[in-house]
Amino acid sequence: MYATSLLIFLLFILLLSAGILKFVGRRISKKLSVRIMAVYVVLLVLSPLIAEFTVEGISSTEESGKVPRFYYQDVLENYQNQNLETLREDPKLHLVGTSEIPVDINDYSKENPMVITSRDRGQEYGHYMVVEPTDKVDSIIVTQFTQRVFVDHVDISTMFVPWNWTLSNEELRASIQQMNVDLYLHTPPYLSFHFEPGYSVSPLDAYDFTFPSYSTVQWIQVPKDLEFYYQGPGPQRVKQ
Amino acid sequence: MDTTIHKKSKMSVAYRQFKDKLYHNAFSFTQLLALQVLGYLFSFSANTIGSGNDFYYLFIRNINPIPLFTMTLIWILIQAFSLSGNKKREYYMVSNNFTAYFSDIAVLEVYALIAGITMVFSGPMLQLLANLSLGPFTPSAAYQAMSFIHYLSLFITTTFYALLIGAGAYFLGILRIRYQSFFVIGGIVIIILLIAWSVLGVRFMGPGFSIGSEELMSFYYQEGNVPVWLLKVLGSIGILYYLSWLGIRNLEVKN
Repeated sequence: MYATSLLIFLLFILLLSAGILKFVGRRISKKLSVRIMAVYVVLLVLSPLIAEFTVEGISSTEESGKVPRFYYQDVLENYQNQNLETLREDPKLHLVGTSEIPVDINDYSKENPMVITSRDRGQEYGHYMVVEPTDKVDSIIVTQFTQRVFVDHVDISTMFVPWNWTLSNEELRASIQQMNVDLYLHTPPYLSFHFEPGYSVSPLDAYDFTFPSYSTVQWIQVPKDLEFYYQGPGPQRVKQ
Repeated sequence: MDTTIHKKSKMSVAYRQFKDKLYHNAFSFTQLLALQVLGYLFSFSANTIGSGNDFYYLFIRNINPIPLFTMTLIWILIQAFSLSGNKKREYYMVSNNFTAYFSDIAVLEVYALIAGITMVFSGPMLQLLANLSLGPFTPSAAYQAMSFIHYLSLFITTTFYALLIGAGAYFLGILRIRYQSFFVIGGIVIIILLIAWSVLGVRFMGPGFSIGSEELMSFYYQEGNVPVWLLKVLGSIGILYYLSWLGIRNLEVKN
């Protein structure tokens, strides 16, 4: 089926080309044509040299080590056994950054707790949050991670747009921006690997991940004595 | 048979005719350029993939010179077809069917070489164009893994596929000038036969029956063994050349 549609497409291209050739046709003199070809060949032969100096690709020094699919989910589901120090050193996670939000714990009481909400723009993001009450901190510290995900060899986890956490009206909430990653991937033609059967140059096969496996872990440390209330239908992950 | 007027051997006449044809068909280079520009354009989105979740949307545009390769093959196809059709040899008093055939084949081989060379340099050229138009982009891991042997493989496969397509188109062109209106009728008959065959095949052999172009393409395309592939390609080219020679051997030229 694929080849049949390809053939139809080829036929279309053939007609188009014939039209173009008719147009280009013999309007151009032979001498000019030879000159054009000479310029083209010179440009082609020089192109590796020019590309060497001008093309700057997105390069990644890190090897795309084996990061299990949905690794972030394991982290989130095992939140009771995790701690921030080990997560920070986990090579499978990318530390996006930390943000500190000053808070006065005296403002909140059992009757009037701080609300931690996981909702933004009508969406529920509670799945990605872990709240850890600890006496190590005096203010709210949010540490954000993403799972390392490689598209081909480009680490797209570094392109993550951090969540913007704010405390307003006694409510801790994040505003979440969707990021758009536009990648242009230059792959060699299959013909270069003609004699290495099984070698796939298609980026579709090169991805060792499913797209949704790329996700975030939001680790929220709050002072131990802070009274808070977790709002939202998502899982309530409060580390003991 | 040496020509009595110029006392030149057949090969020498063929060689002169080859040079002459190369020059007289010089506008084909402009045509190549026009088609390859179109090919580069198509190469920029050889395929695209988009996917995402709540946090991100990933859009990958795959830059791959396969459309360029296709356009180059189309160029070869058109050149071979028009070369075989252009049998007005008024500018060579001494030419005969052999020299015409031989010089046509030689011109096609030069064209195939040009196709191979342009494909080898298409990678850096695409990167340059991409850098100009898109900004920073990513050579894939497979591209960076390419070594000399891969470029050689690219050159050889492109050249031989171009030769194969050229030989096929040349043979068709010879059939066209030899049988003229019968060629068109024959083509229609073959298409009808193919359709009838596939319909009857499905009727009598079950729905699994198919005559796919996949099979034809994979005969060459899926062959990973170098000697076997060479045998297949060179064998096919040889057969097509021989058939063309049979067609042109005793052809009467009408100016």
